[in-house]
Amino acid sequence: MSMTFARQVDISAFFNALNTRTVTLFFQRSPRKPSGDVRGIDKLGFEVVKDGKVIQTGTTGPDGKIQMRIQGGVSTLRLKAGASFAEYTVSIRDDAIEAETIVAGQQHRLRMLGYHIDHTGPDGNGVDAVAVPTTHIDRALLEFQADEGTIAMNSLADATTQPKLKSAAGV
Amino acid sequence: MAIRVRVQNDLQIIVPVRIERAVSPSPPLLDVPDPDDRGWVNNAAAGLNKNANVRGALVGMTVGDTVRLRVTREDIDAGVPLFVTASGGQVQIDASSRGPLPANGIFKVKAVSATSSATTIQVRLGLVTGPIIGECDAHVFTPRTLLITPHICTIHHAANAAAGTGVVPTMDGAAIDATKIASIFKVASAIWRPAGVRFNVGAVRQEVLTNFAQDNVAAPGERDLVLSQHPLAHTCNIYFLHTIGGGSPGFVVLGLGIRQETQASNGLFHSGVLIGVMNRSSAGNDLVHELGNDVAHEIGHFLTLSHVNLVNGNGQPDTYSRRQLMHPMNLLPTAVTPLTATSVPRFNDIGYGVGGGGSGHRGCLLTLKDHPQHQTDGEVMAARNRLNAANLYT
Repeated sequence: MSMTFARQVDISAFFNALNTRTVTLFFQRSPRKPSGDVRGIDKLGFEVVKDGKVIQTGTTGPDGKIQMRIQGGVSTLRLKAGASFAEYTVSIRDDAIEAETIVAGQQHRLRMLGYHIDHTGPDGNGVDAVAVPTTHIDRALLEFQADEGTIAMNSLADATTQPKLKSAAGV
Repeated sequence: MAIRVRVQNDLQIIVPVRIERAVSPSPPLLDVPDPDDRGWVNNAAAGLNKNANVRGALVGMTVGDTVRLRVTREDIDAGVPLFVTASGGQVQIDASSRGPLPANGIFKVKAVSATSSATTIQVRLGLVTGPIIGECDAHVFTPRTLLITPHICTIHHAANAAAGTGVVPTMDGAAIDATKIASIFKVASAIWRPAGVRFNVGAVRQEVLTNFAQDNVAAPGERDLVLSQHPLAHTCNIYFLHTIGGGSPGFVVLGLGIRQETQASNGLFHSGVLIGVMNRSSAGNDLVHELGNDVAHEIGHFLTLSHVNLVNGNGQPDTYSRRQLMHPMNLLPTAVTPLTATSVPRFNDIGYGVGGGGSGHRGCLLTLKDHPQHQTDGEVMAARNRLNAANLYT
């Protein structure tokens, strides 16, 4: 038995569900998942655009959360900024996250948690798997350690820091 | 240009901006405080007005001052309009900074009053009323004053000053004088300004010391002779001398800051500060910067501060610690080369430029945060408390 899938009319990109996935973004004023405080960016107007068409609109709540639709592997998120927009090109990485014991795994977790690790690397998100720490990575590690509160602030992704990174990222 | 985001495991937190020091790398500047941005957790030291929900940098300033800070766009387009606002009453955004932020992100904020209300500087997206996308916690201090008496010392081996061959310490080959002392204190004042500490520097006194073991050198057993040379009561006496002898192998003692509680452990009977002017590789403005930093550091000891995390010698090697005024080394130990994931220290210039020989200048950060895993945090409040103590000058 065969089934036929039909795409909706061209203007109806909103309903083209064949290759649509959803990802969770949190816009926050500071990194990490909240712990009893409020750090999400509230009242952030946004729209999601694919191939020039708006496929989703909304406004964030106090948690700054956006469940964003990704079509065809990549969509554009536009935050309303007065008369203009701040744009984010958002895609999904389906590869299993690297272990927290290796550099790429540490960088991915820092990035997931919102620490600023610059925009180097093939995906432009600061994950370059290079073992030599940049000023951004050095600072991000120190910030993570300071925020963690119980581990030494030594800027080393050492055996004490690695499990904390894994725990904070939840993966 | 759009920011690229690649979502891993269905979690991506995006923090668009941070607030940080307006000019870096740079020597300390009077209107450019170094915010305590060691981590995003607030951890404001006891005595500060903590904003429960404000995470990010803590910045200190003296009431009446207008200072510069910078919004750095970490994860937001360069061209999107951003605005800064303030809440809480202690600070106001300067009129010149109430429009969209310039490309360099630098804005001015005025410290208007040292009230007890918590105060926040906010970064807003798109409009002056737009969503708050970043923030920092501001603290305004009423100034507390340290009275200082500077002394320029000439040390002779001979018993008779007229026959002595000691020399006045020099900077770049010229004898140190009141003008050079003023330039040094200008740097030190800039460092302490964000803590609400100001210096009232008295007239420079010329001291001639005789009967020392060597010309120009104050050996460990002779340090008290210097500290007892015409100290002006009820002031912090700071002695600028050629060389402080007695460094352990590989170390030159560039300064010493003594307070009542540390006299005995140093074999001394007087409080005050010694600064060894010579034996330095820096020159010109770098030398002024270095000496100003040393004066500020030793004043830190005089005001009860210890070396970062109680580590002496080469000190803590991480970048945070090297940014702090109370790191024990100036100039900083050089970075490890080649750099690896596990090597520290990592960078020579940690925001204050490099001095002689390419070594980085020690930073000027005085901590407002009090992290539980750090033994010597909360320096601003500790120093300010000392300035109100009865034994300040004893």
